[in-house]
Amino acid sequence: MRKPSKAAHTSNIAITGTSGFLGSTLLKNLDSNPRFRNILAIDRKQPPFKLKKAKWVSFDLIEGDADQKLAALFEKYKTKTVVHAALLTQPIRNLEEAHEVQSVGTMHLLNAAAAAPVHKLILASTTDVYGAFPDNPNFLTEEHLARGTLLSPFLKDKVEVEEQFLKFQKKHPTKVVTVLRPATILGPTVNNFKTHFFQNPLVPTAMGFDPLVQFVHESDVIRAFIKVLEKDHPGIFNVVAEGVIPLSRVIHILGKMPVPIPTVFLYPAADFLWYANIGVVPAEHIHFLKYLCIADGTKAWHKLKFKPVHTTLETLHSFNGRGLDKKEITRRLEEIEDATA
Amino acid sequence: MPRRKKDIANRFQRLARHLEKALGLGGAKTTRFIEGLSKNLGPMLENLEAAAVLSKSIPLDTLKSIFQAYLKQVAKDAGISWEDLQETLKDMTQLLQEWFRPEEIFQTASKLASFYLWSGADDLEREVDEFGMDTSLLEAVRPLFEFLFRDYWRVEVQGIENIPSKGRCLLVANHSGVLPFDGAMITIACLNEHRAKRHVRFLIEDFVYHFPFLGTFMHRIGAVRACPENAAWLLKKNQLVLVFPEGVKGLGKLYSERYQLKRFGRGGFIKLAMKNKTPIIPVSVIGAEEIYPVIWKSNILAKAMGVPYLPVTPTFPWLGPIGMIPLPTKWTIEIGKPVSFSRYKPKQAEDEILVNKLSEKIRTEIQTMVDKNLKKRKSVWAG
Repeated sequence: MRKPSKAAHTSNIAITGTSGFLGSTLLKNLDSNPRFRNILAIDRKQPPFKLKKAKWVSFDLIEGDADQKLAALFEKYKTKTVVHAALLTQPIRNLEEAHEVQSVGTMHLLNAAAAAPVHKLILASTTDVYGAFPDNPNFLTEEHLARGTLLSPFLKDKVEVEEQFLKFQKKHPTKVVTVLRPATILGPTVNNFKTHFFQNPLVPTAMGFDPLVQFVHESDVIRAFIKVLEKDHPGIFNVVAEGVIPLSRVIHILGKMPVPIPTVFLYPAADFLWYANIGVVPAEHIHFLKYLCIADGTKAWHKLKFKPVHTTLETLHSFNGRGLDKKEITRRLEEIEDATA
Repeated sequence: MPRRKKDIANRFQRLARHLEKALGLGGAKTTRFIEGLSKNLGPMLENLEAAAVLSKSIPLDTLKSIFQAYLKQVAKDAGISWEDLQETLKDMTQLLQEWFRPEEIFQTASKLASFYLWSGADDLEREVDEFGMDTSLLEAVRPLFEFLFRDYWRVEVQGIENIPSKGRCLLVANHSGVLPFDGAMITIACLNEHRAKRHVRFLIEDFVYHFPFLGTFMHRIGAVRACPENAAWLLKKNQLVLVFPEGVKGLGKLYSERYQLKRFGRGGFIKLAMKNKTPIIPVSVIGAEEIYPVIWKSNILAKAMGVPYLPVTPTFPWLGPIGMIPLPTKWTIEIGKPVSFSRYKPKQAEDEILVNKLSEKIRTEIQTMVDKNLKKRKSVWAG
């Protein structure tokens, strides 16, 4: 087995959105990893844990002059790599604010990165940008159009953010732009609207539909981020676990009760709940309970040499408190290392 | 148990003879009867449908009595004795009642319900494959399909040895039967009679795939949504893929159009074979095109229900769910010799004229196989 050489340090990294789940998990990981140095956390709020070597700067990406300030900040800390994770994790009712946070925040970030000597930009997106549609093939590759725009304003903003990143790459061909699209992230610490959906004792489903779903383990997502931080890999990559599970089975494994509702009632009910300030997602997201949105991770394996440790089913078990034991995880990690060496 | 099975098989043979007596060998008399129905029924139904849309209040009983009187008249015109027909219907109902015992129906239904609600509560580690096929569900419902295969349609399979034991392969067949029973029967044929017991992945139309319950069920027993990406993926994994290039046009064929193969899409299956260097095996299915004699298709109602067509048969929708029971015809599945595509380059898939030419060639080949087997067949019911 080839051990990574001690000299291979990656330094001068900035992470935005470090109070969100993905940003904070990544920050925590890099903070305790000796291979990373000079880490900058950019967020309005303080990270939810004590930092060892990283530095936190209170910063608001949607302020009018955020781009100039951010460019100055990048200059000051000699930032070479930026990980953009300051995106919404769940739909909010205030569409204007959502647009500001996602689209405008990204615009400011990219403008600053263009002005400062930033070499690499990494975006934390999601496979949801493909959208769940009846005419999706069983496996979506990176060449497939991100059609989430057609589903909901929340996903529309996400797609727009990706487009901004890809345009930036065209404009600045010498810089490296990477878009990572993880599937639904599950694991022992994750907490978002999708995990809430599975944590209710009763889980509404679309009657007569039982789509296959796909997850990815939080530790695997972090490993994928570390891969693209250490080496330059421009392009879009799906980050997904192997295997799929029917939704009904997920609900069963979690020990919840499915409540099948005819789709004719499901959409109006979800709309009502959304506008009544009770529902978590707008009605369009019910497409995800009916149709497939499963991505193919082959490209990440070929280009990044990234292979998930957990399968979709193991990810679900880990979320459910029955994770793999440490020995097994190290064994699999070594196996993957050997395969890539 | 085996004795009961044999008894059932014998009874189905008897039923086939009854049907022969009542409707003839499936030749002139039946055709006259069903064509007589479609000749006048179509316009009549169209008028009724328009009237129903306008007034929204035609009592169902009136409809039923109109239809029955009409059925009698057409039967008389075609030279079919009404008494014989009723005798056969009675025999068929009795047979079905005997076979479908209430407790068995209840058992199957509860099994399916538990699969739907808890995806089979017993086994936590069971997984579906990457396309969502659940082998244990397939095994659980297999007895029903075995019954259809052995006793009900008495499927005869020829040339199963033409399917290789391993490696990618594209089966191309004629499509019919309103619901994709032909796909299911070819699957069972390969599982039962092929030496390697290969699983067939058959591609189904969008509207079946997304039909509540039915779509999920088909998905779990191995069907895959028909689209080029899925087919290419399966072939890359060296699977045995079954396609019906006629698509929805074939599935909803009218009785008068039976065994006349429709246009083969835009030759997508040829492009697949070229790009993936896959041999194509033509398959002809005889018998499936008569299980639901569609005499007319309702467009207005179909649109309202969101399906591409709503078939009207001599029994459906008049008799309700009982009218959905397919007719016990005798089936013959012939599997032809593989056609190699290895001499074509992937680039040639762009050559639309070549693709169309090859697609027509395969279509003609299947049509010839169908015609040959039709000529051999003496009776629709007993083979």
